[in-house]
Amino acid sequence: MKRIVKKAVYGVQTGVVLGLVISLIFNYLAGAKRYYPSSPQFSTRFATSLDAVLVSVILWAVMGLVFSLGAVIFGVEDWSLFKRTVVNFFIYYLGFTPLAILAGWFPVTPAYLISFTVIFMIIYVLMWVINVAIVRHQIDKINRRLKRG
Amino acid sequence: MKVDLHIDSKLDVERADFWLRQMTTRMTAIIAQLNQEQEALWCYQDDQVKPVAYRDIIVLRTVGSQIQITTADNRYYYSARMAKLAAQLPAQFIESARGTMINYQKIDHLELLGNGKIDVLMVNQERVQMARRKIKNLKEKLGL
Repeated sequence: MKRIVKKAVYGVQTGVVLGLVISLIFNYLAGAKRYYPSSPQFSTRFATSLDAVLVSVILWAVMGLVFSLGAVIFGVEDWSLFKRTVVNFFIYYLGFTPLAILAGWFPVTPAYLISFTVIFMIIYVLMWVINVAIVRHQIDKINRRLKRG
Repeated sequence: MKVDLHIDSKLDVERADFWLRQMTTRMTAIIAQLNQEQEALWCYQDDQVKPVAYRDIIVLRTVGSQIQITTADNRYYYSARMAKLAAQLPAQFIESARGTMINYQKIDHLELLGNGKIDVLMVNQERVQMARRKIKNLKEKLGL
């Protein structure tokens, strides 16, 4: 329980920091003169820009929570890696997609939803492959150390 | 219980003898405390209670309500919960998965299986599963 709370706090912190950094990068790239936490259309939904920033921060925090707690699935030792991966993918996808829509990251049209899904799947597979490579590297390192005695 | 205590500053070796009708959890705990300096765990084998040196222990595994202790030549049993025993084990023991502790000094090598699981091959050829999040503990023990 303590571990899950720690993960949740870490997820919220990471979500907010990443959301802020990424939104700042996009603002500079777009040559914005004032700060937009998301697309300008998102900000127009709110009475003040402060409200838009507050809602964005909450959404970033929840995104961080989805990704940090979703990873807990990989700790279920009784499940096969395939089952854990599939469940984890759907937790991430079904948790993240509505939040991205609420945050105004893309319009809710079939074309945008499909391209978002494809990009999401590519990034997920890439992260999975990188993770396997890291574990393999760690095991090789451990085995070399064990061989040395 | 009748307790006889003999204090003699000239003693070469300190020792404790217990005359018991049966082993109880309370006595196991008392002996465990005394054993901390003795580097051995008092375990059952058949109907006998024997000391098993920590350095000889390869794997400790929860089997039902007992803990199965494997050395190179033998199997023993210990009556306690793993969490309680783990707290008194010396530093060379790490948790590899739920209900399993291994002596990291008795690891031969690790294998990444096709299904993504990690197997630890011990020096006695026994295979033990290792959870990915436990790899970090092993790396720390190995100074990596």
